[in-house]
Amino acid sequence: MRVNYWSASSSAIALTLAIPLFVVVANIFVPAGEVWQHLAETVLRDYVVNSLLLMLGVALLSLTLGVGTAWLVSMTEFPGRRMFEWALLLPMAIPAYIIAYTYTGMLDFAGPVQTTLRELTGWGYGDYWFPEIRSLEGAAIMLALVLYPYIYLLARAAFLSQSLCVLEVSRSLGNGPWRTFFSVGLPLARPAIAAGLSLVLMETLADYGTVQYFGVDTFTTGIFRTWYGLDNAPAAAQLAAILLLFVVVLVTLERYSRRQARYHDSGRRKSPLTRLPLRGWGRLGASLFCLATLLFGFLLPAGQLGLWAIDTYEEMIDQRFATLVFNTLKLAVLASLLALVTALLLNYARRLQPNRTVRFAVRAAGMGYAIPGTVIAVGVVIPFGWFDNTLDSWMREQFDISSGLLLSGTLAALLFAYLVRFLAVSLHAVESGLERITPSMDEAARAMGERPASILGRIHIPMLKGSLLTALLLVFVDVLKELPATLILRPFNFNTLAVRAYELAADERLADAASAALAIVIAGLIPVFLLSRSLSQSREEKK
Amino acid sequence: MKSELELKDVAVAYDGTTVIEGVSLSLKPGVIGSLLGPSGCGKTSLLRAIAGFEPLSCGEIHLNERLVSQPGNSVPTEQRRVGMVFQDFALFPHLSVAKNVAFGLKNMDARQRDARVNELLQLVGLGHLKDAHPHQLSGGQQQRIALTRAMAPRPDILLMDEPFSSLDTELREQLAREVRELLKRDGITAILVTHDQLEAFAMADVIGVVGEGQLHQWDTGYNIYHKPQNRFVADFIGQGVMLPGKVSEKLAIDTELGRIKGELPEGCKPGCEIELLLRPDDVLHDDESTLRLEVKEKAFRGAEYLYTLALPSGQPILCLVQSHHNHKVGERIGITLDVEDIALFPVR
Amino acid sequence: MSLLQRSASLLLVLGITFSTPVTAAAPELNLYSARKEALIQPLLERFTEQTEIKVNLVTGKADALLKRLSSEGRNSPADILLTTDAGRLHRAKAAGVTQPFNSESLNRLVPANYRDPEGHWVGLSVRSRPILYVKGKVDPSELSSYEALSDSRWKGRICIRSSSNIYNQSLTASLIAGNGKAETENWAKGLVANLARPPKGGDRDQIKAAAAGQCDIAIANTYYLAGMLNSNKADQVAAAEKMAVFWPNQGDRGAHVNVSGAAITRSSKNPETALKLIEFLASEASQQWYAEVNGEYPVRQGVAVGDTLKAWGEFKADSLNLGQLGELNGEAVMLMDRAGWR
Repeated sequence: MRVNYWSASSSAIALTLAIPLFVVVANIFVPAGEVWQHLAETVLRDYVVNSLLLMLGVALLSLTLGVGTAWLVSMTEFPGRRMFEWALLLPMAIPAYIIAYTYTGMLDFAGPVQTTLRELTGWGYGDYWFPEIRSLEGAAIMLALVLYPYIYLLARAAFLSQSLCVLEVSRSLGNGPWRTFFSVGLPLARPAIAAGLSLVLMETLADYGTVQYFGVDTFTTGIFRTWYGLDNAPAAAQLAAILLLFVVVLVTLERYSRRQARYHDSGRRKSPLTRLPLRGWGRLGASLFCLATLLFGFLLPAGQLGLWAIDTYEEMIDQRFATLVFNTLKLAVLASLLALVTALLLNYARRLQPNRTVRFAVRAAGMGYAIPGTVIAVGVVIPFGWFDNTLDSWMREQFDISSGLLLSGTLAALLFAYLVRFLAVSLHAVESGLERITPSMDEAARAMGERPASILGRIHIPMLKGSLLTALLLVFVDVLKELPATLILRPFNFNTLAVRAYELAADERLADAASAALAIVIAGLIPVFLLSRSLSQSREEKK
Repeated sequence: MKSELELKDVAVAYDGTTVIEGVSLSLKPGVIGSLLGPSGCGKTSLLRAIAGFEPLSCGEIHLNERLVSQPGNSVPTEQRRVGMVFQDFALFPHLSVAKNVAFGLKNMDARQRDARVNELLQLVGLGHLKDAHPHQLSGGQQQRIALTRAMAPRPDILLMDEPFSSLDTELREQLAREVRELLKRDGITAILVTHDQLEAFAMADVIGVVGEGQLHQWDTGYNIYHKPQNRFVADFIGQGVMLPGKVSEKLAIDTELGRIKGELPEGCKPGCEIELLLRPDDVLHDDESTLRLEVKEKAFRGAEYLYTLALPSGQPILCLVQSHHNHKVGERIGITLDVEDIALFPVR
Repeated sequence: MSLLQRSASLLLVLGITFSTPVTAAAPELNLYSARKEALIQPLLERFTEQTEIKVNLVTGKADALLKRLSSEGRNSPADILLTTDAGRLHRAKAAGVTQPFNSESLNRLVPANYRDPEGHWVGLSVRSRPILYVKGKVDPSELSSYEALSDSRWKGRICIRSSSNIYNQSLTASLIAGNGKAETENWAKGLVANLARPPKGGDRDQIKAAAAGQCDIAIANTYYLAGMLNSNKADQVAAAEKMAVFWPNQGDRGAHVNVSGAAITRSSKNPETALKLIEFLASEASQQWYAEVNGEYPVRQGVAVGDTLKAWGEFKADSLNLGQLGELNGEAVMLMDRAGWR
């Protein structure tokens, strides 16, 4: 039957995508020697505590920034609102480790800010207190500054689609605007905010560049220390499996928190949104809050990169640079399309046939987001290598032909890794869109003689345009920034902007890295612009 | 004459919990049926099973003399030739009115399709809204478009799930009348699911009362009102009271209101206790009557008053009286009985 | 449907074009390099110019490249693995993905302790990790050896990066080789107690922190200092100029060094050509290039070095066979964990 075909093929796709995770988890059964005792006695507690504190810090800060700005720009009117509406997405284009490097360059003891301060006051080391940027708190701030746009994006879409009626009901029951926000607006937008937050937390767990540079020992740095330093891959994979457990708990909590609620949008007429005009201090406060977010999340770091790039671009931008840009864009376009199609198929299969197998498979396929790219890449390298070599041996035995490596070391392997790593992003975006289409839409179309596949084409895709674009662009930006998997899996003579930026930055040549980093930011701006335009357009249409 | 729709001993279950079972019914072409019952009674599940959205756990469904559903086997909805109107209308927000209506029109060239869409839109009086989008329409207009869209491909049967429930009362009655006319004009077979008995009476030729997971009675409106087959139907439909009585030797019933004659249910022996359904319109006001009862409550209904009267034992009965007969609470008024069809039920 | 169909067909077409693997037909060499592109590509281009042998490059982290190599097995396209430390070369040998080679010229030019005794790898540039001190704040006569840095007189005066870094792991491994585990663990504890701040940042950060007054001593690889001195950034030059190099342990085993080096993979289809490239990288011109461009020391004697390196003078390097660093690496990490060196 047709429905079984959908569920079977989607389960197959999802389980294939989960292979790298299974490879990681399978290491649980490999004995890792006495390393565990050593880890437990020395560093494991730090890894756990630091990871949890980091998650907590990033969650609090990114929620404040993301939800706060989203509410202000979608529900109130203040000077600069129209500009902030799109500009607040910009920090998304900056890789976390790049913002970490730039802030360190600016704020470190040896950086221009503190040096100027010392020159002005004549203080020396130890004479004054200055916030230490390279610390757990600093890492949380850096991550929140570039990750809050995920929450902003989803929360804003949710606020914009809220019916004004329910908000007015609250006001008529005597609640002020603030109470209304906390008691009605926020709970209604909860699924979207939770989806955004889970993306942010997964990114936080997967981050390596920032915490490593800041000397914060988290689970991720522990994985690499155990693997590289102790040369104990099984123990490293076991740590990664524990990390996966964090994610399972996280995802389960998120699902559980909204298990009963269904958030369909009936497509009924809504009264057009009238923004609350702010006055006096509120007006100034709103502008300043948004401006500060934008300033610290984008203007300062991008400005610093720009200054560095002006110094070094002549050396750094050559013919090869064009190839870098082309390679990067090619990968980002391909990966985001691939992720979009996959996410659409999986989500749709789950909608058609919400049975346990499909649900499990889809969930497993979305786990990769929280796993550090290097771990994913190893999870890809091992099964691909095994497949290639097994096939090769078989071909040699049967036909005396060597098939060599068919998949390993190709862009296909790299794209597969991107898919594993970033599918969660497009799954979330598509899912939150699909949830808002009532099932009666599907049923109406089926009653008029449409098959599930053509309903997808005639109803869902056109209705989901906004969500699909979001999914596409989020993955696009993520791939632009992706580093570790690209490093390990890319073919010969194939570099991307992120690889170039990283190689220079890791060599502590920040200024030289600035051109490539800035190019990533600029490439990332294009989709960010598209995204914000489509968001405000969809609102216009509704009016 | 063949049946357009036939259900044989149908049961629907979700996750092992049966929501409705033992349903058998048939519908002749051109007949409008209604499934009437309180919310959560399983009537919507039954409709969705007919549409092919829910699998059967027992029984068979035939559409147009074709077996479409049985346990473990179900023709997909899109191959059943059913039309469906949803409670929330489910208009596609990204398509214009005309494109919504044309959605199910396949195997037609563009000209034929346009002609059909125009014809239907004219019919429901919305020809001028062709290019509008659903969110620009009023509730009543959306409802009419949803109906038009479902009728456009000329389905074998039209299934309507609470199609009027989101509209206001006045509009509801007007639309119900219009829709019935439209269906009758084209001779369309239809099933309407509703919890509103007036809507069912206004629309349907035959009504099924559904409650507690069963189809209690599949009958005309009149029979459901006056000859309910069980207490559930009697309670759910209309107003009335249960008057206790005793079967006398001559196979008539002795009640506080005197001896009432009528057909007794099977196995009813003289001397057994029984209850009789007394509708307000079975009790007539008659100033001449010697049977005078005290008015306990009264409710103004425009053309009528609904009086609640008390028998000497305290048993209340209801009486519908033209509203120029205005009596005070506490007054005694004369009544006579006019029971044409008696509905009797064993004592609980 | 159109969006879905279009993107699906686009993917299909592109997927087919990309899934064709890299196959080496003409005389080509494939290189897995832990040296960054900027620090190897120019030399490879020179090699291609001279020999018309094309060299394909993938850069990445050594352990990841090693994993890729071992997963690809006998079909791996790679001919050469380049790393930036001897420990990883040792690890590659232990993983069985390398093959021995024998080159008379390399045996002659490269000192034995920079080569694998069984000929599986060879060092190509020397990276020293001496003590750097702030001129005027520290009298060089106060300094003697790495061991002495655990003395409490240095309390709050030392900057060094995280123990997750391979250079520190190698340094500690060399101390274990010299003094044994127990003594080295005590040393590490003493050193941690003397740190001016929790370890963070890279080697340049330690130099900058010292120059800015946060500490008096920084432990860093010399080529970072060279890079700063030769930078076109005035602040970097100014910071670096405040620092001086002290070569420790000159009275005993010598200053700690590591090498960047190369191994030929077991899967290599043309090991002779691969050896040619390695010999090219050990040639006088290439060795000079390492010194000039990245401030690394030549692996062979008698190569002229630039003024920066010359100014720091000759030094005695630890003669430990560097393969040992790889063997002791795990132990060094556990020891640093226990000592609280983050």
